[in-house]
Amino acid sequence: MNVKEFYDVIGGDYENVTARFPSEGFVKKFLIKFLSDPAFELLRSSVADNNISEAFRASHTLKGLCLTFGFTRLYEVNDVILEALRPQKETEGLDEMFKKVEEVYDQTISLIKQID
Amino acid sequence: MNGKADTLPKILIVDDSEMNRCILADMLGDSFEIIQAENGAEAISVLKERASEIELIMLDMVMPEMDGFDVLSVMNRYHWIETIPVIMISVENSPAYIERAYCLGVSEYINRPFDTFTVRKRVDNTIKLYAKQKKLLALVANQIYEREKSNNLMINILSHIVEFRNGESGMHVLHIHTITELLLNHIVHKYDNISLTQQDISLISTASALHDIGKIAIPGEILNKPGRLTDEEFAIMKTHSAVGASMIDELPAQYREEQLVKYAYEICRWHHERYDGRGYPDGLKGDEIPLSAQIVSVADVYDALTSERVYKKAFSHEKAMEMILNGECGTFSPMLLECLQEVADMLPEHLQMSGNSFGYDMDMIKNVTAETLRDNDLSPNENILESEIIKL
Repeated sequence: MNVKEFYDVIGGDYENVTARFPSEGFVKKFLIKFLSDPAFELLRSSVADNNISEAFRASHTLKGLCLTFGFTRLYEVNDVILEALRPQKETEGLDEMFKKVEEVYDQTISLIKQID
Repeated sequence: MNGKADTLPKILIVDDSEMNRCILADMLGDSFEIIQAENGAEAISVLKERASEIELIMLDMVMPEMDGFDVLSVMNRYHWIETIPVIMISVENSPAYIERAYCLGVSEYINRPFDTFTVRKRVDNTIKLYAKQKKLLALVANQIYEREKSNNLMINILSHIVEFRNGESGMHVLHIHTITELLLNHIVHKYDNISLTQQDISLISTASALHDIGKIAIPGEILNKPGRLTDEEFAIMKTHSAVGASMIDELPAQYREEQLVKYAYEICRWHHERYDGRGYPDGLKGDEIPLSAQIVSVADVYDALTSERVYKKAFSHEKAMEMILNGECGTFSPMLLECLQEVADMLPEHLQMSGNSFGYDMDMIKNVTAETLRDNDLSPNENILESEIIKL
């Protein structure tokens, strides 16, 4: 799978992403780097520990990365938990919201791994 | 570091996400040297070490430790924001955030997702704009420096003549200048309620050279008498402070209006007053004695103790400090003694350096120039919210 096919599968805007970056190779290099980015794991652990401010920062970072890479669906599910965390106080349903993020994140990751 | 990297403009990227820092760094390419900081606190420590080297900061908003707004507040406090442009980058696009960032002095606000072309252009433009301003600042500072150097030279020649007649070394005025400046800078940083500008500090330090001009009216036999002065002789000697002040007071009116002359008057007249009210000529007590005179007084004592004179050997820095703090050489305000102790470690080194200059260094001039630009609303970011600064 090439980068364009990857974006077609995840429903992202390939044209927009490659236009913003210097080259397609550049996009690919950082997609691979995304596999080891700690933002998602930080979101997982801080939601589990009920550390709201840390969870907010992690989700905020993830939002930036979704925008940068044009991960439209991951952006949408992450935005739900981000806005729930924004008031910086305990709130119901975080686990459920996180599960949705996790689902889309896992799909995204497994697809990135198929890029050659 | 190779020679080439040494000359590349340095950009500080502050973001808690390594990925974000790397993407920006790669986008900017190899025409910059990139320094990275992973939170606000780290950024501040980089700035404390090398603020003068950094051409631009790219700042994330939401970060642990200190966030982007905290960094901007500190940058305002230290006036770094006036010389180092900041481009803030965030996914936040609400007007409230953007407005706050601009009010705190950012040059540009870039929303994620950004594109390579825009980032490069904005970085280039911002650096160019600031480089031009820095060049102008340096130009103005240089001209002021040259002018102040000759002014100061004249004052130093004059005080040197007085000292020559006293049998004191010409270093005495330079030393007093240095100690006065060091103490004043420390005091204004330490106490918010003492509002002296860099210009005031510069003028007081310059005026300090004139503290003993009244001695030209004292007969040479008394001035240079090797033995102990009689009571009568000492009474004559003591007139030098009032005499010096009246010499200044008799200057033509247009000179007397000058702030330098006003400070010189205070220093001449009251540099032998004591905080407990037992000094001369007026027996002023406590803070009735102007700060300028109090500082020159302690500087005078310190330098007299640590210098060799016909009637005494030089005491060590430690011994001199001990004698002053024990009240063996007059009484001073507790605040001033505290400040003296706090700058004590720097004194010997600064005094050694003062022999190499005209008592004016370029940093001082730059500070005065930057202050003047600020006062005239010429600095690049004049719309800083007071509340943001006070918050810290």
